[in-house]
Amino acid sequence: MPKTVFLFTILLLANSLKAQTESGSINLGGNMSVITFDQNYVNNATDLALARTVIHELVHAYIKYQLVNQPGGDMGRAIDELFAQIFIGNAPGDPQHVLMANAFVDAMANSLEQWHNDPSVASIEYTRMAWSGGMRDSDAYEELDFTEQNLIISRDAIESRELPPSLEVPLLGIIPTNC
Amino acid sequence: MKYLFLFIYLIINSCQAQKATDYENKVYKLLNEVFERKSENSSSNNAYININHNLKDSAKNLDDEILKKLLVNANSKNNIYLPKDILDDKKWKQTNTDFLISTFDQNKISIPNLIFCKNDNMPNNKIYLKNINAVLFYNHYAILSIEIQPGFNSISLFKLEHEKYNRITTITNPPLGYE
Repeated sequence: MPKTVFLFTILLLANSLKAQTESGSINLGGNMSVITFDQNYVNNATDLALARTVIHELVHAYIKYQLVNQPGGDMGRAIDELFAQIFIGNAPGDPQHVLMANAFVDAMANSLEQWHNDPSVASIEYTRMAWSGGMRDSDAYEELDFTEQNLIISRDAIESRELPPSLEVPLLGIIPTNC
Repeated sequence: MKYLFLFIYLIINSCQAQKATDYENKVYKLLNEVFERKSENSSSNNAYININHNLKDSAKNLDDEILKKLLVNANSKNNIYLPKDILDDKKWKQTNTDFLISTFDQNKISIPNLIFCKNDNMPNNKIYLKNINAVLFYNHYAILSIEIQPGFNSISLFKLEHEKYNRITTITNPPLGYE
């Protein structure tokens, strides 16, 4: 199995990006994924929001890895099919986020819950956290109730610290302090 | 005789006051459809919304820049085609928002999970959406702006298709980053 190297960087990103992942093969063999986080986001968001974003970007890297190394595999075929549907206008979103929304929400929520390890937090909160960024442009997101969609937005806004917590929606993560 | 005329005048006046405007009917249709649970198994919370509103000033309540951003965002979706006049934010601001009374009528809501409450009487420990601060209709499209928390709004664009409003996109103000 080819090795994969992950490089994490922090920069000021444009266009309201919280993070992005770029992947490719390297000359020495194997793959490299460079995951870049927005500096303002890193400085302000809670550890829970940052962990969610790390998981989200790692799923991007995983999908890209599968596409490069097993283009005819299940993942490659799923992406090809989604790309075709999106290209002809039958589905919204971009293929990777649609695939995440269709197949990875529970896995991302479980990973986040295991990492956070706080039994006082209901599992639904981790599922809400898992619905982020471009995943909200998918048909799968459209199947959620409008009230639930707004709760997902609220949870994201609070953990990203764009919105102060309230009695009804308290902060679940910890605000990292500068060393 | 004078009292008879006065009586008839009061009856006519009362009948006129109770007659909902076309805009009001469209607002209630939109709310009933947008907040309707999408499946019987849905575990979504109830939406508790301030019974008081200022929808007759919807055009003023929706910031020009936010409206433009919503329309540009919707038009950038790969499976969405918006007619040119729908992209004209000024036309939205000229539409009729004639809502005669400044409180919502619970009797016009046919779904069990949308509940209007007085702002100082919101249920404790319930997650709710605070205020509906703008609803605009233009041709087969509708915009719904909700204040989730003070200073944080979600603004959604819907399209009426087969007699039902379907969500096209939602933006927030302030914006949440993309990942």
